[in-house]
Amino acid sequence: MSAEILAFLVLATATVAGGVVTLWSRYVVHSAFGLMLSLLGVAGFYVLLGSDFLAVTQVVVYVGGVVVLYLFGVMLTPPDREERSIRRIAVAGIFAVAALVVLLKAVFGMEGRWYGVDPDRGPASGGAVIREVGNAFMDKEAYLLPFEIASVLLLVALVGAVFIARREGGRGS
Amino acid sequence: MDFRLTTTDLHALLPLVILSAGACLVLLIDLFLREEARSRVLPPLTSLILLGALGAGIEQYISLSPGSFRFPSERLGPLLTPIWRHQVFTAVGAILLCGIALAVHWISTSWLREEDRPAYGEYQCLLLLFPIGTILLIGARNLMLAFVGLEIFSVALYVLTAMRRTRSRAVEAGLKYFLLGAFAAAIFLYGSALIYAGKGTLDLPDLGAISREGLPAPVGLAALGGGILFLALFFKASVAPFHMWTPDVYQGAPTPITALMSTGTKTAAFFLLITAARLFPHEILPLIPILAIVSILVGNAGALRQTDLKRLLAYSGVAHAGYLLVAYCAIALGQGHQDAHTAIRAILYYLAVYGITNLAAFGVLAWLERREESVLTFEGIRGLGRRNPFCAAVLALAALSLAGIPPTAGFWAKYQVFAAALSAGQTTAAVVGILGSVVGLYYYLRILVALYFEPAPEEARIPAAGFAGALTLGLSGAAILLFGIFPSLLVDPLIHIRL
Repeated sequence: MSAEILAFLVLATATVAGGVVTLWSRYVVHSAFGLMLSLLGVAGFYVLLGSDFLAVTQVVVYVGGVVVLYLFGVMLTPPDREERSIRRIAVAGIFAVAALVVLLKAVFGMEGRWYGVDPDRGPASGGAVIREVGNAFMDKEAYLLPFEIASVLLLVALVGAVFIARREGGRGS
Repeated sequence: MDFRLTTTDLHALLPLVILSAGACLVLLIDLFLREEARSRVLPPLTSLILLGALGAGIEQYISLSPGSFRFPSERLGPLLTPIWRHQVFTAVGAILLCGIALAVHWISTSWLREEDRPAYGEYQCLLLLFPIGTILLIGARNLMLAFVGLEIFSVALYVLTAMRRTRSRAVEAGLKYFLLGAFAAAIFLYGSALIYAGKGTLDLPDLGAISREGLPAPVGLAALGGGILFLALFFKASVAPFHMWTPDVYQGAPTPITALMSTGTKTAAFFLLITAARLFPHEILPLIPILAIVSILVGNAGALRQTDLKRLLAYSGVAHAGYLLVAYCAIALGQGHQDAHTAIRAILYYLAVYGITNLAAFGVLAWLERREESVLTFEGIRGLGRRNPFCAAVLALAALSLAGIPPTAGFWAKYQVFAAALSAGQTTAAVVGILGSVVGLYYYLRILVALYFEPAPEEARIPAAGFAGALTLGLSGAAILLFGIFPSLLVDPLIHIRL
């Protein structure tokens, strides 16, 4: 067993175990930590695939940002211990199994054609990925406009958050 | 590699540039004004910015139409070519969306003044940002750009829906819309990711090019991603059975915002449905006529039972999404290139007419609503024909146009949609659509009966509307009649649309 397969197995176990904890834990805090484990595992996959840039982004945005935000949210909201109803779990389970079947069928319908991933290419050396990301912005695929326009999205979110969260006494008073 | 933006690029993005610069300007100026000055300065400034963007859209339309000699080369530079659609299609979308935003702005000026602490700056900034998102969605040649546009206008709408934070119903509507909308956005993104995994590209293929060369249908993950992507779009267009949020959110949102939601969101969603048509998985193509039929049935059946006019218009919106889908069948399932283009023109015509009509209807409701909420039922419009003939006439025209009765524009809109479906061989969907609009007659005519044939309640007082609101209502009422009597006024400008 090569080191790569071993690393994959460890990461896959961590990712799935984290997901299971997220779903089944009775405490939201445990769920958040399970989610963190799962997301870290995914970051590990990115490293294995040679996409160090994506891995770092995953850690910074999801593990560092989103999960911490969840934990703050959990801290600031009063606990609510609602019992799960069997019927809901059953309905959700049916939908989940159906979705899994469709996804598996689609994956096997690919007949080995994964355009997003080039299996022949080994892990890229450090820096190459970042260069490719940079090229995608300006050169080959011209993602410059979405990148710039994302600032408008941030502006909307910022104005909206202030608008909704401002104090009742009116602005600036 | 040449990274410079060309003048054509700037010309293509001009409405977006005007709107985003304008939104920042409104926010900045708002900082330096006193409370009394805001109501005098900001609304005219917003009108000016929206008129500018509308003008830019019209200018693009003229220069892109064949026969124009002003911009001989309309080729975009290397930075925009792969990602932006500099076509008549986009220009028409920009004109529609800027027009809708302008009308909503005018409807809401007098309404905003009645609020306890009107937040002019934030409200108008968000109103200017909304068309940016929708125009991006329309012009995008790439799913990534479309997603950013979708998020921009959705976030703006979530906030506008919940802007009256002291009312529990508005907060409930905002929260509901936000949670479901965020879920839909995530689904959109998941679909895009699967499409990328399957095809290695996020491009939206051109309709014309694909149907001519007969490229292979999406398979495997790309097909699954396409299906998931369309779920999110159907949600935004409030197609049944993805319409559950519509009545509650329409009812809870401030009425001008409901107008924006029902016209702007639906327009943008259907524009993207058109450009993304080739991503729909072929295995489940027969679902589209079924969804159209379900929407028509659910929308009309739901509207029959309503007494609240905003909920009634929400369910009628679901039914109208169904009529639009009937024409969409011709694009998705039609064989010929010609069918698709006829259907695209029919859908755009319908969206324009539906936009004008809904703005008129919600404009009247916003005028009558003000602080008391009881006015929004049938009870509230009883005898309006005698109390306020102008309001009643506009609402009556809107109801007739929604029902599709000549000589209103709604008749021609329905006619074109069903004709496009029939010529593409979609008989079942078209017949259900025609039957559905007959059922719809009942509740639209109930509005007319309440307006003109029922006695007015005693001490009923109609508040005075501002000049801008009255102007919008007058213009949209006149447009409903004008486009109904001379439909070619709106048909001819759409002839040059190619995709």
